Amino acid sequence: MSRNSLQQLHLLIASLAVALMPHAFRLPVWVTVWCLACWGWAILCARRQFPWPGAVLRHVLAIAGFIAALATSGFRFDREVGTTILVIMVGLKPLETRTYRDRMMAVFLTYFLIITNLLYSNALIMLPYMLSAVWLTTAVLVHINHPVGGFPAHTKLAGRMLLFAVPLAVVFFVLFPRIQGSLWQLSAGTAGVTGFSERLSPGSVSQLVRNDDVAFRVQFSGNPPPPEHLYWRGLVFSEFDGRGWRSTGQTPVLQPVVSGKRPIAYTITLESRQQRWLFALDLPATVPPRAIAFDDHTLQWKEERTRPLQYRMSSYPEFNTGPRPPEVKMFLLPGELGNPKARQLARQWVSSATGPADVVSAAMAFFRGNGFAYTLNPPLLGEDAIDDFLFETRRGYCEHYASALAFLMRSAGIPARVVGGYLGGERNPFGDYWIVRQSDAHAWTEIWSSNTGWSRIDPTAVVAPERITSGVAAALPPNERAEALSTGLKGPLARVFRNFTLGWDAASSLWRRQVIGYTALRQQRLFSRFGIRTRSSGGVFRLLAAGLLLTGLATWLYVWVSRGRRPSLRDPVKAGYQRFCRKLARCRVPRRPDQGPLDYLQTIRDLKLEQGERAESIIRLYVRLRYAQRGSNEDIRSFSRLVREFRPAPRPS
Amino acid sequence: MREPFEEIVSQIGTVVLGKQKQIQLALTCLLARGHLLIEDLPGIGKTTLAKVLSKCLGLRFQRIQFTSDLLPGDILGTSVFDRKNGSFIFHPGPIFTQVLLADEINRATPKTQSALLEAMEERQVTVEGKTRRLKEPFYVIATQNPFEQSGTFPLPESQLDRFLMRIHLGYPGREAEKTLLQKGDVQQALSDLRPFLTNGNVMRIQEQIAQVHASDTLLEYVEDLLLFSRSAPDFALGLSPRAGLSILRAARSWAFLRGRDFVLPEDVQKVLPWVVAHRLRSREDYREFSHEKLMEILLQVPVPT
Repeated sequence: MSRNSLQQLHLLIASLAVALMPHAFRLPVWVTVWCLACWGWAILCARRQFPWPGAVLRHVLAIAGFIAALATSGFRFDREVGTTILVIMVGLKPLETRTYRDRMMAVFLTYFLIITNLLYSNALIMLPYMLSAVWLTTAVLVHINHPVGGFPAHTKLAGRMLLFAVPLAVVFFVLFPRIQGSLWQLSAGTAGVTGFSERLSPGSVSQLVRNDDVAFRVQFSGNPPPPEHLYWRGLVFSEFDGRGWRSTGQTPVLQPVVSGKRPIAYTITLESRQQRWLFALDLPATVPPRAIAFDDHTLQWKEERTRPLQYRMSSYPEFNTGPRPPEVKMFLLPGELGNPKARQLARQWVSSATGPADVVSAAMAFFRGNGFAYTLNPPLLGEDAIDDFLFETRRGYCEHYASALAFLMRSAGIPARVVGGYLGGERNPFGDYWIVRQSDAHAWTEIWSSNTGWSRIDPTAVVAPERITSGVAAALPPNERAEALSTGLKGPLARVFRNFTLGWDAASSLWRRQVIGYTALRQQRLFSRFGIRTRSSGGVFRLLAAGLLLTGLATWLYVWVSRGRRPSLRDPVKAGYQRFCRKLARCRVPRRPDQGPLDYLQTIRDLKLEQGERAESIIRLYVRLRYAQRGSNEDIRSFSRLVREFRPAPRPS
Repeated sequence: MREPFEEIVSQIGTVVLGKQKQIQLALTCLLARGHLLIEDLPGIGKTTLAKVLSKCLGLRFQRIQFTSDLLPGDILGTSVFDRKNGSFIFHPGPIFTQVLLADEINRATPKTQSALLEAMEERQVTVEGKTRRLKEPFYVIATQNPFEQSGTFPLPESQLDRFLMRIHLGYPGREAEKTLLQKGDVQQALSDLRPFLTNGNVMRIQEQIAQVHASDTLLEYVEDLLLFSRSAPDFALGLSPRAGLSILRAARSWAFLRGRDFVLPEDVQKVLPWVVAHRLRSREDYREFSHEKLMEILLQVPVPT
């Protein structure tokens, strides 16, 4: 194997390895080992003159690989198996890469492998990776087709080519008809759902505190509301089962009844599509498209597939849900649910109160005055959990307080329910948006009164007011703070790290909003802003064609301008000679490209053309004008005239 | 062909039989102020051609037989202590001539070969720290035997590049060889030759050749050829700028000998294989190309119109 093709094999394998890298973390280990073994084999064959595997062996290997891939996945055919089979072929390909055609195949396989990475992730971190992988592969492509000059020169050329392709990519990005939903994540798995479950029991919120994942990001259109209004409503738990709360019994409504002042408009970008619930600032005033509203002012996506990553909302921070009474029965307690002491306490409050408002303030005073503590690690509770909490342990997290308060209110005959969601968030100064993390999860209570409807009562605010103003970590006792902080770092290093993560988050969020979030809807909106109706796909394709035409025109213009003075456009001698040659070529006396004028003249003479003498005088004049560079403008004119009047007779074939 | 040169070629042709083309090329090379490398088997007439050329051009001639024990001093000259004067006197070596025939140059050591380098490129010699100019015109005509591999030091690329042209003689044709056998003695024919030009004439002709016009279009063609040689996948290395200048010089000389004062693409094509064949190697096996193969590749470059 020559030095050259050996180098090409090395480069091919290098680009394949780069394309494979992210898959190596996801696919079974044996697949990576398989690839490395095959590539090592190929390199040994090339360098040490080992025998190349024959066609039979290669086929056996391929079939074995396919079976192994299917077996690993339990003979299901999904994304993983598809990728595994592709990677197995990628491993085998260098073993038969000896001709130019094989190498080209391998390069296109590499491009395909790079694309498959998008099946798994479209996070911002993929962008630099994809770009460098495509760059490397393109450099290899250049190298294979144009082996002169070193690989660094090819890398430079490939980089330039990619730069030139940017305008085209932008045109395709903006104009190419979008598919509703996501092309890449159609078959995304459902593993790793974090967030709220449909049952709220003691400990179900506090376990989220240790999860630093981003739940969603929010961008306010105007000024952000103060921290005490940053309650993100998610689920409503209205059925008490003796220990925990269930989210059941919602009735879909077209538009929930709510009135309020000064709505706040904002956009929420979800981190994943896995939540069925839409989170919205308490209390949502609008229903985003493709979502259903319920009478408890919660929102859900209509269909799994069409959940967007982003939605606009507006909410009333101060609201009134109207005098319409809830189905009161639902929000009261049946008799046999235990916790007698709590019921007793509630009855006491009712007997000494003049109205529901007094009962509420008595409850809040109870939480304030009896040494309740806010902690992530509350002691275990017994059979009558609420009694235990209220009268024995008195240490708990938000769900304990919300649940206990709702129970007390129901016992007192006041309709109450528990709401789950998030509280607060972190403002990112780099992008001027808010990050709400799983660790911001929170639960609070709502009670109903006939003049204001449902209103929010947060017992945590009484026990640990810092939770509302400064976040979870500030509200916890010092020995528990570390659990709620994302890193163990302290001091200036922590600040640098914090700033870096926030900066990256800002860039990442911009990427999600502007690039990944550029959906069919956004495309339509963009087009309609320019007065283009694109309900029909034909219109979009026409637009795309126009865009391509425009890019092509721009490219052509660029080439034309950068060529500058093209002699053929200005030089009458050159133009005349070309015309002369074209005329003769039509008469089956073409000039070979390597023929100089005298050689051509000899050809014409040998053929004894009728117009031979005229041709000779034209060529002589041409030689004088072009190579001897003697001759006046008059000569140039007569040359042009001679060419114009030259009418050769076709040579008989 | 211009009259006096036609005569020279035919005169030389009476001694070196049946090699019109090679004689023309050799003449072209020398008039372009270029050094000539003749590569062929022994007994083909390399030395004779060199001798005849120098005689016809009316130039002084020296010959060095290169052997493996030849030292640089043997070419350049040495200083010898003179007892009478009590000082060193420089005895110029055979290089102080006008036509130097370096016979079987590839049998000398690289050190000795490189002693020729400065003389060929700069037309001057530095011995013992003193630089001496050589009398113009100065040519090196080197011969080498390509098939004798043992005990030879093949010329490196850098040295090959200094020869404007490399020609092969090849066996004479049947008729020519028969005439040679009839005549028997070449030496007689050699001494019968009379010089056509004098020293001054050669210089003047060289100046005229340097004045031969190369138009912009022609320079484009040469540049296209150079760039092609650097980017085509066939060649290990492209042509150097010096090779480009050599092509142009040879083409000028060729055009002049054909009675023209401007260069045509055809002139370039005629001299091209002789000028570039020893400067280009195959990328695949690092061998040289045959002239036919070389032209097949290089004629892919279109002539600008």
